[in-house]
Amino acid sequence: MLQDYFDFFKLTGFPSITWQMPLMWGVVVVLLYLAVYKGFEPLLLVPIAFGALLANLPSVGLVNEPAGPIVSPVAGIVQAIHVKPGEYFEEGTLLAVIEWEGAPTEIRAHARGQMTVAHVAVGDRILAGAILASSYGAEPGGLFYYISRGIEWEIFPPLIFLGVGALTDFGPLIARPITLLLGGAAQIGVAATFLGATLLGFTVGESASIGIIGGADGPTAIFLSAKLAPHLLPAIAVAAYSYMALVPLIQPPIMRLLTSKKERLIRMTSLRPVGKTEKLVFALLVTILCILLVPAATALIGMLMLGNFFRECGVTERLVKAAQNEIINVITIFLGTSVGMTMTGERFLRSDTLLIIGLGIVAFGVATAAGVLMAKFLNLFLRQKINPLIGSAGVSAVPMAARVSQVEGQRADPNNYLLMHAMGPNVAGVIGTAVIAGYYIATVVR
Amino acid sequence: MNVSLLATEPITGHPGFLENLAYQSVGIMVVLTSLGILLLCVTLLGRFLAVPAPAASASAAPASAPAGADSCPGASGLSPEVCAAITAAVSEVLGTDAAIQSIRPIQPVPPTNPFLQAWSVEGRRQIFSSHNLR
Repeated sequence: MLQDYFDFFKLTGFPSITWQMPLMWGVVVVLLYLAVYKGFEPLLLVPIAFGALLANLPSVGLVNEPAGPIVSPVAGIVQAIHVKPGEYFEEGTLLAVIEWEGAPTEIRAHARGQMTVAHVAVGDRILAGAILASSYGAEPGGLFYYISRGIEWEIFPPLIFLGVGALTDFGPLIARPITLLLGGAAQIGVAATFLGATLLGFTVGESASIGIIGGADGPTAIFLSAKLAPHLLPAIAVAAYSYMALVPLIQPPIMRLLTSKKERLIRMTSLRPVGKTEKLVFALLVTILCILLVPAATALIGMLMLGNFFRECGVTERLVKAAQNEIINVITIFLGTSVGMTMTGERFLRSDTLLIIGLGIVAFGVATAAGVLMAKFLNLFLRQKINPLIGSAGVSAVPMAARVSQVEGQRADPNNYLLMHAMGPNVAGVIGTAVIAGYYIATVVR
Repeated sequence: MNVSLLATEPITGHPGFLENLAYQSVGIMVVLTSLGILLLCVTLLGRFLAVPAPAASASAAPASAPAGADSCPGASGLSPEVCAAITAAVSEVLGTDAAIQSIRPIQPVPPTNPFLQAWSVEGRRQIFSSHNLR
C-alpha cells in the first residue's frame, strides 16, 4: 500500500518541479503585487503574471503541441533518422540528426505520436523549414498552444491597435500638427538603445526589439520582437509594460533636469476645434502616407487608423463599441496570458533579461529627453511657444505620458493645463513607433 | 499587395559602430520624414477643412446674455462666473441663437425625512456607479 502511495506521488507534479520554478513564482508575486496593490498596468500585468505562473508549473494539456509535421529548424544534411514509419514515439524522442558544417542538430519529437510517412532519407540535403516526416497523435494541442499562435502569427498586436485607434482622439494632434515632430523625436530613444544593445553584443534583430521598448508601446514591442527576436519576447514584454507603468516615476526628473522654470511656465494657446471631416481625412492620410513610406508598418498603422475611422465616421457605432471594448479586452487577455506563458524559468532567468530591463530604462530616458529637447529646439523658431514639458509625451504610453506632462506643468503653475496639448505628441508617438518598427522590420535581417 | 522594401541596405549580425550609427540616422530620418510629410498635409488640411473657432459662438453668447452680474437677466445675485457658465452651457446645448430671458435660482428643497433622503441618495449612487465611465 505504501508503495502504491509513493507510486502515486510520482504521478503528481512535484517531481517535475525545477529550481527555476520557485524563482519564477517570486517574479510572479512581484508582478502581481505591482499590478494589484500598486495599480501598475493591471490590465496587462495581471494576465502576464498569471500566464507566467501557469508556465512555471508542471502543467499538462496547456501548451503542448499536437503531433503533426516534423519540421527541421535548420538547413543541412540528414545524418540519421531514428524512427521509421509505423513506429510510435514519446515526446522528446530523438527523431533525426541534421548536420551543417560539422555542427549536428538533434530533431526531437514535440509530442507523443506515430510516424506515418518519412519525407527525407539519410544523406538528403534540406533547407530550414523542410518537412522531415509526418506523424499522427491522438492528443490535441493544449489551449495555449493555439491561443499563442496569435503572437507567433502577429495577429494580436494589430488587433490591439484596432482598439487603440477606436479609443484615440487625434483631434489635439490635428489642431497642432507641429507636435507630430515631438512624437518623432522620441524615437531617438529607440535608435540610441538599438545602438547601445549592439555594442553590448546583441544581434541587430535583438537590439531592434530591445530598442523599441523606448517607444513605450506594448503591442508594437511584441509585434517587433515576435518577428525579429522571439526568444527575447518575454523579457521585452515585461520590461515594456513595467516601464510604461513607471512613466510617472521615470519621466519627471528628466523633464525637470532639461527645462528651466521659465520654460515650464509657458502657457499654450487653446487648441482649435477639429471637425469630423478633418479627422476622417486625417485617418485616411496617415494610412496612405505611412504605408507608402514604410510598407512593413501596414498591419499596425492600418488597424490603428481603421479603428480610428470607425470612431470618427459616426455611422459604425456598434463596431466602435466592439473595438473599444470586447475586441481589445478579449485580445488583451489572450495577449497577456500568451506573453506570460513564454516566461518559463529557462527563458527568463538569464543574464540577458537583466540587461534588457536595464537597456529598457535607458530607452525610456533617452526617448523622454529627446522629446523635451525637440520641443526646446522648435521653440527657437515658433512664434507660439510650446511648453517643453509636453515633449516627454512623445513616448507613446497613452495617456500616462500626457498625464505626466499635465502634472509637471501644474507643479510649476497650478493654473496651467497641458493635458490636451500633450495628447498631440502622445498619439504622434504611437504613429512614430509604428513607423520605426516598420523600418526595422523592413531592413533588419534576423 | 506586397511591395519591395526600402532601398536601404539590410543590416544583419553585429554591424560596426559607424555602420550602425548611419543605419540609425537613416531610421530617424525615415520617421521624421514620414511625420514631416504628415505635418505638411495636416497643416494644409486645416486650411481647407478647419471648423470655425468657438470665438464665433463666444461672440454670439454675450449677445444672448451679456456677461457681468448686472446684465445677467433676472438674477442680480449671480456672480459673473456663474452667469457665464450658464450662458455657455445654454449656448452649447441649444445653439448660439438661444437667448436667455431670465435666470432664477431654484427654490430650496423643503427638508425631507433624513431616512427617506438616505434612500434616494443610495439610489442615485447605485445608478451612477452602474455606468462604466471612461
